[in-house]
Amino acid sequence: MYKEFLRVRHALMWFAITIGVTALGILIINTAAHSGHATIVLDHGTTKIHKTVAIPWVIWFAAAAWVAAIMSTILGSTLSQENDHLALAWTKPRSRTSYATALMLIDGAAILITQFVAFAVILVLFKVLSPSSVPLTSAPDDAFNVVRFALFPLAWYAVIVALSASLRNRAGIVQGLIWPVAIGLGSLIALPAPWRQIFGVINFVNPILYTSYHAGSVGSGMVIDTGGTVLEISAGVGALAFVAFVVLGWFAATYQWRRLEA
Amino acid sequence: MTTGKTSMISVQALSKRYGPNVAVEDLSLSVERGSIFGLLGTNGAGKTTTFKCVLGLAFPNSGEVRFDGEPLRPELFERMAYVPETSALYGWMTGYDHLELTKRSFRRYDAERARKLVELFAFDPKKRVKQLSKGQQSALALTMAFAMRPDIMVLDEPSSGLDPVHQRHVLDLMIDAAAGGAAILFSSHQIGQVERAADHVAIMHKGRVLISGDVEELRAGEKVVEATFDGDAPPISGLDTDPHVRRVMRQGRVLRAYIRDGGNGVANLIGQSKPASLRVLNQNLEDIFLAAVGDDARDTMATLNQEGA
Repeated sequence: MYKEFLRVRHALMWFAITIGVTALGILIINTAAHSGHATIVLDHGTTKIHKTVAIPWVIWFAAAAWVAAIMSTILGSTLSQENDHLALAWTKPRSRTSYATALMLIDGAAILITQFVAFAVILVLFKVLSPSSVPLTSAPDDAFNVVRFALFPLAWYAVIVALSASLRNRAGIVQGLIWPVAIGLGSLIALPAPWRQIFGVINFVNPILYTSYHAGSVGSGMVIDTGGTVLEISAGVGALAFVAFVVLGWFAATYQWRRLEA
Repeated sequence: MTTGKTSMISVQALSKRYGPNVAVEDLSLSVERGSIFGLLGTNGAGKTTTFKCVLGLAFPNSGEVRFDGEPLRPELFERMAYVPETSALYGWMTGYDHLELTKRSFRRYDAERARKLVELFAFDPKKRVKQLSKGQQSALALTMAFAMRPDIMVLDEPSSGLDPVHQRHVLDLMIDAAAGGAAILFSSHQIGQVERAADHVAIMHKGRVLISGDVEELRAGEKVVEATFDGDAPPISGLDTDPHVRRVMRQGRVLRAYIRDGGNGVANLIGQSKPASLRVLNQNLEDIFLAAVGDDARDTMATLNQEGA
């Protein structure tokens, strides 16, 4: 486990440097480009209405989930990378299932850390850069959405680790292709029938499409909708789907990995 | 082995196939407490596959492996150390990281012994593994293994890449560990090392054990009858089919018959052809190996000579 701890520490260090530099860059560029606060103007055709726009804070946690999903992609090669070191990994006094599970738990912790750090940085950036007239709002289902969006990068990790566990030195193929494939598959739902139905079924194994988020209403002047109706499922089912991805991904990855030969 | 000593590693009728290719066939061996068992064989003989099957790193098609009377289970690795032929170390981690990894994984890890082993092998543990030479990586793997003071050791070409001084250190460590009660199963390309360290040996070829036994008994039982003729060595009727003869080699005027037991009878048979000289010599392990493995060993020996040069 010490090895995975070192690996995760290394990844987190690079993440901290990257997000720190990015945040600093955004601040510097923004400070140079603007002075004072901007005014939010909603453009309704020919009539411009000055309006106070509220943003649910959970949307920033959802944004952080996508940052964490990048970390998931990086760490998802863990078992595949271990395949070059099986003679070392499998001659320790612990079972293979226990070993693989421990690796994944450490990675999972790192992914959650990534998400919360990213969330904190995004909040700071928002507070510093946004107009003072844009408050953050909360809603009764915030806690549920926090859990849901914390599960998404873990589900993403589980899919990658399951797809790459039996690959030796080829996890990069999965890591490199999973984003374009998942996004591409998701966009194919926009095709007309019968393709919409066909790709709708295929996309049930696409974690990205369970990340839907909906807030506000047309009447309030602010609607946030990240495509929640694509799979026509509720957010609760979406959360359960993430749990299923995590459990099935863990099982598939461990099952394959423990049956390999060194 | 048929002595009353405890068998720490017991392998019975082990077979492993990769598709149609037989890697190991019907292999049996036993390593007792305080014993060093050397496995000799040409490249591709099945030594590494045997080790992997023994340690559960590969799944045998049939056979049984027991350690100290028990089937392999993860907890047993607390008492076992394995040094693979090719490095399984993490290239991005330092030597110290690997020692820390071993410390956290095995309760038996002895930090003081590890420190002394690092000094003995004279490698820099602060360097990343990818910055170490092949020999230094072997030294690190050996340090990790011996620092655990294991009861059972499986060492696949343990001195690969090491210089002669450190190769001698490895032999000394193995002999010391065996004297302390450890059972050691190891392979080596260097027949001299096996001869020096092992008390039991098995010669493998194409997945099968051809010869196995106590090194001294093998040496005592295996002879070579060397005859020199005035002209080219003649064919001798009945020599090739003699049950005591393992192999007959003719090179110009010289005829060598590698035999087990009953050397006098074979010498008498050859003597009837009136050679200019006739000697019955004891065989060293290399002779026994060459006699057993035959022509296939020549390439291996040439490779070994190149490696040794």
